[in-house]
Amino acid sequence: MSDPQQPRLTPIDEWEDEAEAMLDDVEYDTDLGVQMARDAIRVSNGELTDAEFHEKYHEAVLEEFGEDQRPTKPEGFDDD
Amino acid sequence: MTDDGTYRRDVLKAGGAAAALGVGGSGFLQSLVESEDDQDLNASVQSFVGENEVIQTVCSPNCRGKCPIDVHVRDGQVKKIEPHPPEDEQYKRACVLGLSHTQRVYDPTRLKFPMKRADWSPDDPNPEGRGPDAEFKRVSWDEALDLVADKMQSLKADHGAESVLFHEGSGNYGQTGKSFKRLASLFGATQSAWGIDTNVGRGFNRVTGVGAFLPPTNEAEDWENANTIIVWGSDIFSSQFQMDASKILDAIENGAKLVVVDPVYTTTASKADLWLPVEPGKDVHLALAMMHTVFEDETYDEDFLQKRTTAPALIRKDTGELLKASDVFEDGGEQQVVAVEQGTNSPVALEPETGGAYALFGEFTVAGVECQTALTKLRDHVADYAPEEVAEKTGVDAENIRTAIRWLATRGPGGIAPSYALGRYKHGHIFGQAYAMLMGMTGDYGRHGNIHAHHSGGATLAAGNWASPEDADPGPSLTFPNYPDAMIDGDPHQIRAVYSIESNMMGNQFPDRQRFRDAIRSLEMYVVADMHHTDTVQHADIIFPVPHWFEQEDISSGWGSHPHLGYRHKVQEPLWETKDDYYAIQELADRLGFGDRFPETKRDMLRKLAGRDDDIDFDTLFEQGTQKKESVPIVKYTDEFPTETGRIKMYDDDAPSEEGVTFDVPRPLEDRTADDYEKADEYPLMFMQKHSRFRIHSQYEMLNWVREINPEPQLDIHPKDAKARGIGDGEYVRVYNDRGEMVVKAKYNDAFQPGLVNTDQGWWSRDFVEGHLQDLTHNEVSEVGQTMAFYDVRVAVEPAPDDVDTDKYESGNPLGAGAEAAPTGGD
Amino acid sequence: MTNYGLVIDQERCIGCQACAVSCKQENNVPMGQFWNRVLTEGGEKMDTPSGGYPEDGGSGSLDMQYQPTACQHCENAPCVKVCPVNATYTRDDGIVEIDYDKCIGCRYCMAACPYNARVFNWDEPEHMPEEGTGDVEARPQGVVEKCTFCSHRVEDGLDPACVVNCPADARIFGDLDDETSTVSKYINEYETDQLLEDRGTKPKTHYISGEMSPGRPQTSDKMESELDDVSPWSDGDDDVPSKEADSVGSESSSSSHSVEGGEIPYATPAKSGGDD
Repeated sequence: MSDPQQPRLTPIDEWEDEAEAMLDDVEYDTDLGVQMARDAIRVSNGELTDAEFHEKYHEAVLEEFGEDQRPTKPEGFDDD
Repeated sequence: MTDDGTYRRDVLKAGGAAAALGVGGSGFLQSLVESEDDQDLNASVQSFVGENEVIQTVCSPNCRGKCPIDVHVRDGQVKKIEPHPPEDEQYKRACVLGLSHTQRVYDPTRLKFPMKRADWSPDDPNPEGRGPDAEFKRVSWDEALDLVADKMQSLKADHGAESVLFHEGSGNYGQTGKSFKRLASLFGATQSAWGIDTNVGRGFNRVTGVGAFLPPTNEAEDWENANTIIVWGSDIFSSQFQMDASKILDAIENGAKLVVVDPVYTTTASKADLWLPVEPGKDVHLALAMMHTVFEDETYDEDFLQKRTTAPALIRKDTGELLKASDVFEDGGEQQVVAVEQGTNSPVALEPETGGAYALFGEFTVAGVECQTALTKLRDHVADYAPEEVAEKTGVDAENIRTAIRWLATRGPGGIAPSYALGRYKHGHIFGQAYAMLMGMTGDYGRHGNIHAHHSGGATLAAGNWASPEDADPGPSLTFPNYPDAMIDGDPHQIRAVYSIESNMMGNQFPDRQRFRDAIRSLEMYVVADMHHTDTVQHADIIFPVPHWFEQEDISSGWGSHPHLGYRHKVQEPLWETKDDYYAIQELADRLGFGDRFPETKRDMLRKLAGRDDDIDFDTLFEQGTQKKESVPIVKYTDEFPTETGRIKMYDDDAPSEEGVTFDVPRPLEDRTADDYEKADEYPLMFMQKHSRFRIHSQYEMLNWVREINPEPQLDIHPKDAKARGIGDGEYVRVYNDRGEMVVKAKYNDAFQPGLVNTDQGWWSRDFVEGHLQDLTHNEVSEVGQTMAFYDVRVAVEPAPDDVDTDKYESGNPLGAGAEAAPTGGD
Repeated sequence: MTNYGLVIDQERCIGCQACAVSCKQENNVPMGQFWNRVLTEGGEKMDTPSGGYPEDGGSGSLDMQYQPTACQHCENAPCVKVCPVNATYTRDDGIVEIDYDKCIGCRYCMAACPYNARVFNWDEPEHMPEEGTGDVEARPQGVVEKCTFCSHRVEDGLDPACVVNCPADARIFGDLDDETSTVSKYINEYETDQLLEDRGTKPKTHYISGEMSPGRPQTSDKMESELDDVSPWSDGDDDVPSKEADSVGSESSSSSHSVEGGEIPYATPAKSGGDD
């Protein structure tokens, strides 16, 4: 909440900057977070499927977090 | 209207989502939580629901809520507040402030111990030591009470009891004030008389015989029956009525028209069907133009005018007095007025509440005297106020004036809900007179759906003469505006000591602050009882620490709000050494020789007072927590008006006058809003101090949660006015006039009329970068209104000097002055 | 299946902030943060309109409306999809909730939330008073938190705090899967919007704008589904005010001159015979 006078929704054209700023100090990969966030909304939009989203980031998530517990895992997905 | 337009939802919806993210064609996915079948539904939220002790009590400032609330206590601490629906559940209520008592009960501003100013003694009061640099030392209650009682006795012996003023504010809505006044009466002290917000009621009273502050109005539950609601000068959804907002919203939902007359585009205006952006001080012109329209359209309520007003009464052309029945008939009454029957032109003495085919207009010769009817006189008077004629002066479009009053006059029952703000202009009583008569013309009295004020009547405990027992010899009363003269110059008599309860007079609600400070510095003793270390407390010689409302039992009247009395049960024992005002009053009474006149315990006192009110049974009230007063009428003005004629006065032949203007009919008279006011060029901006939703007077100033939303005092200013002065949005500005100055942050706000600026009231001096908003206001009252005119004030605004220290708001401290008390966490 | 949702009537909302503050109180939300914020649709700053002041005496172009905004409890919640440890999840009743024990503080969910509804405890959260408020435990440092639709209340049959405390009756909570619920009826009968509909998140918070609804029908703090009669002013509140307090020790008052951290005196419960 940067301005106590007027908390706000994030306008889409500022979203990426804000997302990066939000993840800037995090000890995890900022770029991965921004990309996943963007694609998660593409999933909501129907542009990507859950399975595609899951597969796309599975390895990166495993590498970054040592686990991948996302609920997007498709049936029979091989996660080793 | 934003730079990038991005805060508006419609813009958001139309925003660049498609561009940034693409819009896919395939279906969306459902959440897949089912695949996680080991997910505990309530895995991570530890709930305490049902574990709290819940105590019903009442929130008690002088707002219009008087909200029955449930206080949840756990582990010895107040954990949350919720509204408690009273017996009549439609009056369930609470607001952002009453819900936040967790932020107040434990605030560091609370007083903890009785204290004495370090350099004060009864014989050597060091008056200059009062103020920001004063230091205090802790004393025992006995020592504090002895000092006060001894000084009161010696002043009484040397100068008379009236040299001591008992000043009562409105900060604690219970019954203790009645015992405070009782002690004052027995001792013979000067007593305070109200001089704030009494203007509009006075004017209304001249017409109807009713009204002191704002006049009575139908209870809130009836407002949904209104077909037209004209809210005049009130941000009713932010202040005074917000806890009853649903009542007006329901009326709107049922099809009522909401008109808002206000120089500010308020929250309420944003909900209106029609907003009339009147210029400050031009309300009477507007009301007269509305009367003009009613005459022009002939939409006045003939039956009502004939039956319940003096509209048909005859005015003698020779003297300007009303023709009396005794002038016409041998056995005619000296107070009785006379009309003529239509057609026969024969005179009739008018009885209250009696209709007839009386001529409303015309000139007649009766008993050899040339006369005209009162309504003729009024019609002729307002002939000069056609909407087109006042449009430029009032700033309101002529057709919109017509539309507003046509709705009221032709859509069935409705009303006008004026605020106290109108009375904060010097001659505000004239508006009271004008709208009382206007509603007489539309016949809006005594019906379901009528509204006469922006808060309803509510219930008051009828405590008889407890405050002024028969055998007492009470001292004189002194109205607030007369305090400085009395304290400084001994006019009308010298005040040498003040005992003040429930009031932050130095911090709020008293204008021309520097002169009030001088007045207080003229005293020999200043005793202040309060819950918090306010600006006023900082000027005290003796401090009585008062517990939070949750630590005092009391009976709260629902005055100005809803038809219940509430029992304010104690939630917890008083923290530290705080003690109920009743304790100090009783102990002082003991020392002054009146101890036997006060019941031993506060509950005994409350029981006794409740026993004087036939509607109330103490035990029922105590057990239920609320009791509805069945005698409170939902619809007001159903009986004869308490005027000489029993009728609404459409002409006043015994009217007061001031500055050469007589108010036989409403005649506009302005002070600083006048176009030709002499210092209008020097101080070009009108300055108001709006009530906001974030404070009640100066109460709740310390709520840190609220301060996260509303962190510091600001100057609402139209961007045009700001830019003309080289002031950027968010920059600090110096606001000044010939009485004083303040430094606050400018807030560009298109809701404000160019030429009008505002700082919300209720901030303490610690919140200002420099000065205080009451350093700018003045203490000049009108002869007739006798009411402080806080908004009738002019200022100039310029960028703040470069060297001004705004550190408290700019050093990464989002909470401003409250930050010491409340470090912030998170980001 | 139960699927909880919220209807907010913007025509009724008066921007009073009661929902924002009572949310903070009920949910023990740390200083500096709000789960539920009342946005102004209008000018740049809170409580300011868009448009220009009418200088011709007409009604002009000024416009302002309030948009209370918290977690939208999206059916297609992107925050749920990005959470690598499945700390953010959708409950069977549709409430999107965070398992604070699982949350590792990566904040990917915050980046993915289009509604700015989530806050992160960078430091040790601070509360006023320090011991906290409301009816849920505080969350630790290093986790993300947000509106839960007051799931702890819902499980007890109570409406969320923001809904109960709204003086304008502008907030209505209930089961979107139940056609007879007030929320379902209002969504059918009135023009409603969801925020950022084009992002496909399918929020379960619906905003009425245009024609005003009658608002929340019940006075009770109970959920509609707990009441037999949903007519206005139906009484669901059988709590009797407690007059008798347990005796909890009397050595209470701190002698400190100010309330420093941790020194809030333990309050003695009021005695029923109590007078000073």
